[in-house]
Amino acid sequence: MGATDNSGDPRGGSPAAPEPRDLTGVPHLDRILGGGLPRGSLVLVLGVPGSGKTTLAGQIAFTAARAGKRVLILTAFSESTSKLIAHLRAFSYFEPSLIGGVVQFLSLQSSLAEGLETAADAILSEARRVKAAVVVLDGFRGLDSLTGSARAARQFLFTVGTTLSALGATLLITAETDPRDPTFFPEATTADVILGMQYQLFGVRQHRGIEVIKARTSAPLPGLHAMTLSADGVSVYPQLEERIAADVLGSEAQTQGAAPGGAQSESALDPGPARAAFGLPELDTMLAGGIPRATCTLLVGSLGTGKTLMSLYFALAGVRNGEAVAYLGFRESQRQLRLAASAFEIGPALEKALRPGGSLTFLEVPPIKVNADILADRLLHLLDHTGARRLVIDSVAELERAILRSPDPQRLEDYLAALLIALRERGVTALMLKETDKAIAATLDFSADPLSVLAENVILLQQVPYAGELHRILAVLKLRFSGHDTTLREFRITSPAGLEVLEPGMSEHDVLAGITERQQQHAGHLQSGEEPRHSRNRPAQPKPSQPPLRPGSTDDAG
Amino acid sequence: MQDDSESGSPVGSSGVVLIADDDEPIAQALAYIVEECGGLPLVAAHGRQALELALTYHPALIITDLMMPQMTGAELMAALRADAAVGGYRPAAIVLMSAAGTQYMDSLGADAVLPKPFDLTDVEALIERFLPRAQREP
Repeated sequence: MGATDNSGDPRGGSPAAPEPRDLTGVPHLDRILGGGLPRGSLVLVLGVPGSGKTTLAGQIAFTAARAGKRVLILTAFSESTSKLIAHLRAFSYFEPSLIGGVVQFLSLQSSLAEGLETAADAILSEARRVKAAVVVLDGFRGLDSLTGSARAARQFLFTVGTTLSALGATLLITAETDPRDPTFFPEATTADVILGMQYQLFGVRQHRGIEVIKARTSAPLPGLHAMTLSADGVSVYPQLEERIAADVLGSEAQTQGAAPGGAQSESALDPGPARAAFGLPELDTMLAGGIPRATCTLLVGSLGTGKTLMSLYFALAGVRNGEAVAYLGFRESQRQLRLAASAFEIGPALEKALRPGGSLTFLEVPPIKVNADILADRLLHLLDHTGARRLVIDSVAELERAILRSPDPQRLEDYLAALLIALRERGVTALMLKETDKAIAATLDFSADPLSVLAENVILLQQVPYAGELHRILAVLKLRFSGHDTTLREFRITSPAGLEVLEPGMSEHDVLAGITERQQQHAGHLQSGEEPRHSRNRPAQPKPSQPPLRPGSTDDAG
Repeated sequence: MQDDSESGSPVGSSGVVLIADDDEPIAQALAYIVEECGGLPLVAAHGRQALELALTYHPALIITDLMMPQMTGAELMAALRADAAVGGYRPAAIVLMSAAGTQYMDSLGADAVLPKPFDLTDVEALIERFLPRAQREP
């Protein structure tokens, strides 16, 4: 609604009346806009060439046209109407049968040649003639060079914007400029909404982003959000932490119902059994029945220790329990996973669970150019869609890597915290796998990282050499909200039996004691030397009644 | 230009081809092709200007864009055919061009449709079809 918008409601309603808004039809754009575009607003879409401005404007226009609204699309200097139509024809939102009917494409070239005043008259007269509810002016770049005056351009925007607003028409103008170019801003002051579209290279990688630079009378999600351009047009992927923060604030503000975005209030969740078991009797006993529901467990371990196999037990225990389960796999394809499991007794159960209609959904994501926000959106959508309450991520290191290689690696902790909140809000019990640096270590080796601090529970798996053999050792380092067995355990992987966690008495008599002894010496060495934080280590004898062994420097806040 | 029927039907006598398109480069390109084919091009930037030029110069052929400011190609066609019906003369052949879908274009009843983007040979074929050789410059 042009520049007069902040002085009251020109549409005749009371100032407190909610402003009518129109949804853009662009996935998640309405969300970052704080709820669509105010009807009759002047919207500037700014971006460098190739950033997707025209694609976005066309998508919004065709969404309006499909809803029966009349749309006028005007080209300025950037391209002819037929080239613009050819450009938009490539997208699935384009509907040829609407062209010439509710969607009119016109060129402004001849009237612009006579000056901005003539062009403004032409736009307004054509908008009235076709009774347009949405007007798109594509390619504003030429206007300031035409007049050489920001003031004239501002006057043009003001006249056209306010008049169209009075007619109830929303005006979208695409302009070629760096969205953060301060010299453009004097012209942009008259806009109600400014969208900035970024298109940058980091190394050889392309990053597309979209930002709501200004949104009068709404609460947009701040910051730069990921964006893709595909055959379906533009899709926006809100920054996970902003999205979750808004959801949490939203659900605090609302006293009833579900929070936006499918997240549900805790009371709305079906709690189910209090614990999510692995179906590995000895491990479940150590965990006092399983992992507490709606928490995150970091399953950390060196290469080849059996993390993935253990996660399959966790997933299939959920399936047996009648739960929907989601598995996000970066490392192995579904085929590789089924092949690996076929050597074990759980193979047929996995095959069955993965069949169409089975309750295990496998989301396969190659660990190439992962965008953490896009992935989070896919994952949350999958959880909402399937109702899955158990989730395995193999490996969460890929998600961390995606953030650390993004333009803003500082986001890591906020991102992970937001992800955990989003999962908890959905009542999801998550098992996140992660590798430690060393394949084999003489002692249990674990360094705290952001996720091990954020996760409620940490289980460590490691291969430790002892008496000329490698032994698989397991320890529950942290189990928040719950007591647990803190002894070291040995576990075995044999075919076809699979994974078996041994009772203390089943291990060769000196293995656990010897490793514990070595751990004690290692901790003592560190204590006297370089790492004072290790003074918290309290090595213990491998008996359930002993105090907990805390290998490495876990930050156990539980 | 041949001018052998001054007093007869106002249409089909002049070799004039009216081109109406708000995309100026496209209009200019068409004008060039018409000239190459021996016709006399007239160019209008919008539908209302095209109507005025058509009623004044009585072109033998009108190549018009569908979507134009002030008056669409379909409205232009309807206005010219109404004028011909009242005046009792045969209306000019009208070629409607657009990047819109051909199904919609076909339904509008033009003598021919020219989907955009077009080939030079498509335009030449239309001129060959609708502009009698006798009316063209050698």
